[in-house]
Amino acid sequence: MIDDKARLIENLTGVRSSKLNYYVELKKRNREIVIQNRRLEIIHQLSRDINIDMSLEMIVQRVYENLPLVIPCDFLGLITLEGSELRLVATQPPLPCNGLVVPRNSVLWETIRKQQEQVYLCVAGDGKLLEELPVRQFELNCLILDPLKVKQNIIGMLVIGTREKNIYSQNDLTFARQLADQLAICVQNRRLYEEVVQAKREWEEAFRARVQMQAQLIQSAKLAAIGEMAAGVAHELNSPMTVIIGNAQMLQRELEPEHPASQLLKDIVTCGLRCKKIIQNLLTFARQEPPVVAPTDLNEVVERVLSLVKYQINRNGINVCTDLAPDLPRVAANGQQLDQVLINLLLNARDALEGVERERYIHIRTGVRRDENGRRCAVVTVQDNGQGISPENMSRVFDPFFTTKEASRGTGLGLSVSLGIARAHGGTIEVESRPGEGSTFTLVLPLEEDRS
Amino acid sequence: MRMISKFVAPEIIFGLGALSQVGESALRLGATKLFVISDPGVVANRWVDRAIDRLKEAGLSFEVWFEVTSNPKDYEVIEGVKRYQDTGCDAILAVGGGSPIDVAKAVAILATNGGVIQDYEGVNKITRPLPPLLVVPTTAGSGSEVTQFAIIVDTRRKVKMTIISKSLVPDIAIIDPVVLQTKDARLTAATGLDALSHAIESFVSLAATPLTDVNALNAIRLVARYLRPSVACRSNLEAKSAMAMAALQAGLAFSNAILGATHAMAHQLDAQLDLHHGETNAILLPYVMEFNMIACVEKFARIAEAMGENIAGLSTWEAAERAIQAVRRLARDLDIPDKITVGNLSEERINNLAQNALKDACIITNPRDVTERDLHNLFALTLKRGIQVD
Repeated sequence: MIDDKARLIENLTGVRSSKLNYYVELKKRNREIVIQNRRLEIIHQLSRDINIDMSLEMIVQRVYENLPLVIPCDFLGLITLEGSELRLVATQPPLPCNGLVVPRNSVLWETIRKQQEQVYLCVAGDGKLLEELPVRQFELNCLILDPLKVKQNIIGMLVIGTREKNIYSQNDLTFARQLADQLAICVQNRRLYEEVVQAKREWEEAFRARVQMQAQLIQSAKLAAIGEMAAGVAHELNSPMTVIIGNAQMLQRELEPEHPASQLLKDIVTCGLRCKKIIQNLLTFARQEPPVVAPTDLNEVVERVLSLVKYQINRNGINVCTDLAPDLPRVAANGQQLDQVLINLLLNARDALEGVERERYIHIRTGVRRDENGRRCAVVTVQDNGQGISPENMSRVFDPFFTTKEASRGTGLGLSVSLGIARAHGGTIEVESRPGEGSTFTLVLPLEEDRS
Repeated sequence: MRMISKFVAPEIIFGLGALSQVGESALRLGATKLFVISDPGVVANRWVDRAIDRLKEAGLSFEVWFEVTSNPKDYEVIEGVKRYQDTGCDAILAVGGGSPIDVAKAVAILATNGGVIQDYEGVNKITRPLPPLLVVPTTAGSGSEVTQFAIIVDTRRKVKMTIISKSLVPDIAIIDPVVLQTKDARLTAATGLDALSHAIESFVSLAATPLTDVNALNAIRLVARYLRPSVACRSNLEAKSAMAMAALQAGLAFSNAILGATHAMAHQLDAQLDLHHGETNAILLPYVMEFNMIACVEKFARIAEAMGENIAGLSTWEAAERAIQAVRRLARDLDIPDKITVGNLSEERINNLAQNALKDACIITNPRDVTERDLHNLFALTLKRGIQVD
């Protein structure tokens, strides 16, 4: 009671109170307002002229330009959280440590875990110096570590450092938090922008592919129509061809082998049989019949195909040499389809040699090797020393309708169909090429029964 | 007993013709546009015009507002703040008695602290500095020109709110005794006795210090000697100067030592009945002195001495009683009644007055502990009607 009265009197006579000075206070407030204005300007500038396509280095540089005016600041760093890694992405003054990953035991992780800002005092001598920040280099004494939050999600951290000791006030911390919030939005916007750009690129690619696919479909439909027609024609030609061959053979039997017409008849029969084969192939191709699989000797395929096309190739002044493995195991395959593949590869090789000045050759090899899955495979290699394939076309050579030949000479279906056949046999076609030196195509067919 | 004390006073410019310093002083405070607060009486006497002339000479702009009544009301403060803010003023000049000065303080509080004046009732509730405050008192009594007090009536509760803060001490007080010449005899008497009660109450206050005692005693001496001639003759500049000094010193004393039961009670009566503050104090003072005497009889003896009583050979107790007699005689000489004449005042209202007086900040420093019952008795004593004491 007595103490209470003494306290009341103290209050009245006011040892603890003073007359406040209006102008001193006004000046103090003015100073605060000026600083506050500058702070607002910085935050405003951040939101206004930081473009979403600006790099994080640029953003940090922009912020650092005016920051020392409003808060003690000799160092500014931006750290981002990528997956489970903290990475120092930008600093001012610029340092070569960009991209550095912050170790898990760093105090910086503590800020991320606590999800709240902290002031860190860099005390020299007691081992509390941060190695991941240039504390020693810039003689920093005080750091504000402020997590960048977007809707409660932490996306990184802002680091403001100064040489001055114990300088940061509550006011400074509040400002740092506002700055961090604004920066978080900038960083997030940038990320979203990148995602949008990436999505746009993917969408455009998808769109292009779709347009291409549509063109291919139209082309396929055309081809299918032509194929059907060709099949009809082939079918109609089959009977007269049989008659021509039959009659020629009958005449042949009646003539003496020395008869001058005998060679002519032989040619008629040979060409007729060739025509029949072509017609047969055409029919097979057109009908897309399920292939008849039988043990097939790849060496025989090579011989057979060469008998068909060697003349054509030799006529172009190209040497064809073969190097066939003597005990090549047979592969389970459709011989006719393999013929088609090999013809394709040989004709492509021939075309690749067109206009090549040096001595031209095509080298055919057969053999056995293991593929990347460890399966034993039989292979046929067709190597030429032609013009080769440019790197940008390498990935497209198997695309349907992709061709570098002039429109009248190629449909761009050869390799596409060939790859289809190889895959139907559980195999593949490999390609190596050096522009100006030549290409090597390898048909790889598995020897084991299981085709996955 | 108290180890540490504090004495706060404004810059004081005192003397015949001091009014001429208004413009200069306002410039020194950094003012550019002054909000001049006064009351119709002062305006009629052209003191405000003279002050304004000085402002004009100093190249200052101003806004005059003089709708202030005695016992200033909360709604007047609201109006004043609105005018202050609407007119873009940056300093306040009060010309007048206690009322305009107190309103000026209240306007200043709200101008920078916001809210309503009720928020600041009590001690040390002001948190921000007030605009520069310049005051020219035109009465010699209230002491408001130098004090940390402002008294405003809460019209809804019918209570005089006491606002106490060091921030309420004006920046500059310009005291010109010439101004006092226009006051009539009754007002001069009432304000003079108000100053006397300030001096006596602060002298016996629990918070009195040697520095306040010097001022209080001197004020008592000056009032005892010069109030009668001052009331008697308007043009007696010697008496006017002495009374101006008495009011000033009483103000300095009570601003720093606070008051006592007389003022705690007077605040209630003024608010309830809209009485004249100086007169109410003058009537209450001897009764409260009688009540307080057992607490500080030596101090009362010194008051008697200061009042000019011959106390040689008297016991301390007899001398102290002389002090009360001297106050009563002075009041009677100035035609101040010794009772407050009011209509029917019920017991309940007297209880109410006592309750509110007990809450008044001034009661804290009264030298004798006061209960609600004591206050009730004192009110009853001063309000007893129809019995005139010789």
